[in-house]
Amino acid sequence: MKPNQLLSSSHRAGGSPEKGPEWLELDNSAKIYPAVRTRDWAAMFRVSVDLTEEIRQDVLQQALEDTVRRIPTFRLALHKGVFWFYLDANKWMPRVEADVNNPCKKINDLENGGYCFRVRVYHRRIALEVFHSITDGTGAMIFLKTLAARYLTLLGHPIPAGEGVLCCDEPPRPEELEDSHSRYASFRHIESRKEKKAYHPQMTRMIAPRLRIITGMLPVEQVHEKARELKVTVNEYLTGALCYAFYQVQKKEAPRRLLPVKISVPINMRRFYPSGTLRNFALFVNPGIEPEYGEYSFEEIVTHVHHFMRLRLNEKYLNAVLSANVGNERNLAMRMVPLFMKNIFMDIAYRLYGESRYTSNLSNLGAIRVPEAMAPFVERFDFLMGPPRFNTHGASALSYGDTLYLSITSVVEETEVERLFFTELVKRGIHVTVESNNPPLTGNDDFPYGRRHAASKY
Amino acid sequence: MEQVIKMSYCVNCGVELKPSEQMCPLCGTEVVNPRQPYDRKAPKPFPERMDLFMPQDNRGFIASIVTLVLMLPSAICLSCDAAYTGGSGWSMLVVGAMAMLWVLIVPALFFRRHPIVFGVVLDTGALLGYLWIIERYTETGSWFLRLALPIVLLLAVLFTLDYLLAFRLVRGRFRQAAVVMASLSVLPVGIEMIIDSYLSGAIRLQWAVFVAIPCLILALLMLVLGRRERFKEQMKKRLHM
Repeated sequence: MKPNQLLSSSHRAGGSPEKGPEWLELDNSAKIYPAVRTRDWAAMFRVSVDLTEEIRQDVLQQALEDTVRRIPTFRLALHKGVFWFYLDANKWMPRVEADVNNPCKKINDLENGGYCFRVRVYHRRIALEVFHSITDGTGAMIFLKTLAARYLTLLGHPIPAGEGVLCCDEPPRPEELEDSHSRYASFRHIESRKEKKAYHPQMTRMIAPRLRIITGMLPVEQVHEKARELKVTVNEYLTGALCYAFYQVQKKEAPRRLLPVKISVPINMRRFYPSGTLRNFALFVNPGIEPEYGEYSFEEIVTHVHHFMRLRLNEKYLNAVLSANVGNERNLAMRMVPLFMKNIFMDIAYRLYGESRYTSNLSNLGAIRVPEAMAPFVERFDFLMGPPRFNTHGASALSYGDTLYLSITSVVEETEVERLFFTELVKRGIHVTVESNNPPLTGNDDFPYGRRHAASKY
Repeated sequence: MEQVIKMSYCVNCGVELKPSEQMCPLCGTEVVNPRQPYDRKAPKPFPERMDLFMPQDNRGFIASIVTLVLMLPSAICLSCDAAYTGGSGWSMLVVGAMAMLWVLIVPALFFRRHPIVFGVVLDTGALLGYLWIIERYTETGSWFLRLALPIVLLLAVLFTLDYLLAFRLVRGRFRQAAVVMASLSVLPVGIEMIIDSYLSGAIRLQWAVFVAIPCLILALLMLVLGRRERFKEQMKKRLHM
C-alpha cells in the first residue's frame, strides 16, 4: 500500500476541511488506551502553562472554542463500534473548569460532554488534561501553546504562529490528522516484545482519588554540565538518576531475588519521520539495569542507560517496533474479533507487556519554546503524568527558559523514591527547588466514594 | 537595612523549598526558618479541592430489575388464571411467592444499616402472609392460626435472641456456640408443643427430648471448653485458616 492510500484510510472522513473530520479511527498506539481503562482509571497526562497574570475565564472559554475549531482531533468523543473504538464529532463545546488537587482523574463518559480532555484554570495557570487516545505529549503541548497564544491574542497581545503555536484562523491541515504509525511502518522486520518483568516498589497505596505530585525545579545549565561530565544527554542523565533511586529502594527492601530496574522512556517519533500529526506518534524503550549482575554505581547506571539508548534510538530499530504494533492491528484474525473480546485480549497484553515490564516511566518533552512575542507573558510550563494503573510512580520533565521542571506523580504514601532521586541530584551539586500538591491527609471517611488504587498484580 | 534572603532549605534533604511548603515534601521535616516563618498565604501550586469519584449507586437499578423479573411470572399466571381457569385463585400462590421474594430482597438493598429486628419483622410478616395465602387458596383445612403462626413466631423470636446474644452481648467463639446450641434445644421442644396442642390439645413431650438433650449437653460442653485456655490455644493452632 502506498503511504497516501494509508493516509486516506486512516480518516475516512466526509467532513469539510473547515469543520474537520466527521469521525476518525483511533491511531495505532491510541487503540490500547480505551481498552485498558478501568472504572476509576484511564491513561491521562497533563500539560500546563503559567502566565504572568490571573487568567480571565470568559476569555479563555472563547480561546478554547477557537482552538478546538483549529485542532479538530480534540473535538472528538470516544465511541464504541462493533470491532473498534472510534472518535466521533462532538456537538457541544468543551467548558473550562476550576483546577483540583488531584489532576488526571479519569474522565467519565458522561462528564465533560464526552470530550477526551479537560481545560482547568487555577490563578495564573491554564492546564490541559488529556486522555492518551487523542494525542501524545507533543500534540497536547501544541494544543496548549495554541490555546495560550489565542488567549493572549484575545486579550490584545497578538501572537504570531510558529514554535508550535498554530494560527486559529487557518483551516486544519490534513497531515495533522494522519495516523503516522501506519504510514511509516515498513514491515522489514518485526521486533519481539519479549522482555523480563521489572521491579516494582512494595509501598502503601493511597485512597484512589488522592495523588501525590512533587515537582523539582533544576537549573538547566547545571544539569547540562553534569550530563556533559559523564558524556550523556540530559534525558539519559535523569533517566539514570531515577533508575538509581529505584535501585536503592529495592536494595533496602532486600528481596530474595533482585529484579531488573527499568525506566520506560517515550520516544517522539517525529524526530525520525517528517510527520506533522497532532495525534499519537511515540514509541517506548525501556532502559535499565539488571541488579543480579552485581553492584552498580550512579555513574555506571547513567552510562548504561546512555549506551542502551544509543543502541535503540535509530530509525531502523524503532521501525521494527512500530511494525510489530501496526502488524497486530492489521492482523485479519485480530480485526474480526468483536470489541468486547478485543478489550479482554488487550487488557491481557497490557498486563504482560505494559506496566509490568518497567518500574516507572520518565517522559521528557525537552525544551519548550514559544514565539518571541509570547515569551514575556509566560512564566513556566509543567508536564505531569496521571496516576499509573499498576505501577507506583510516573515521572515527567520539560524545560522552559533556564529551568527544568521535573514532576514525579505517585499513588503511594511513601516519598522515599522522590527523596532519593532529588537528594542524589543535590549531592551532585545541582540546586533543586521542590514544591508539592500536598494531598490532604484524611482517612477514608472523608472520601465517601474513595477506593484504593488497584493493587500491583500482573 | 539588611537584605532578607527569602528562601528556606530542608535541613535533612538539602533541597530548597518553595514558600508554599510548610514541611519538606520529600521527608516531612518541618521548615524552621526564623528569618522567614512559614507564610500560610503563600500561593500554593495546587488548590485544596479534590476531584472525587462520582457516586456509583446502582441499588435503584437492581431493585427495578428484581421488581420486573418478579412481576413477569405473576402477571403471566394471573392472566392465565383469569383466561382459562376462571379466576380459581391458584395464581395467587405464585403472586404471593413473588411478593414474599420481593420483600426478602428489595428492602435489604436499601436498609443495610437498620437494626436486625427491623429485617426480622419484615421477613416474618412476608412469610406469614405467604402461608396465609396458601391456607386461603388451597383446601387444606385451617392450620394457619394454630400451627403456622406460632411456629414462625417462635423461629423469629429465637433467631432475634440468638443474634442479639451471640453477636452483641456474648464474647468468645465457644460461648457464642453455646448460646446457639441452647437455643437449638429450645426449638424442637417448642415445635412439638405447638404440634401437640394443634393435633390433640394435650402436650406430651416425646421426640423433642431426644434432640434437646444432646443440644443442651453440647452447649454445656462448649461452656466448659471455653474456659480452658490451653484447649482453646490448641484448637486455634490446628483449625486456623
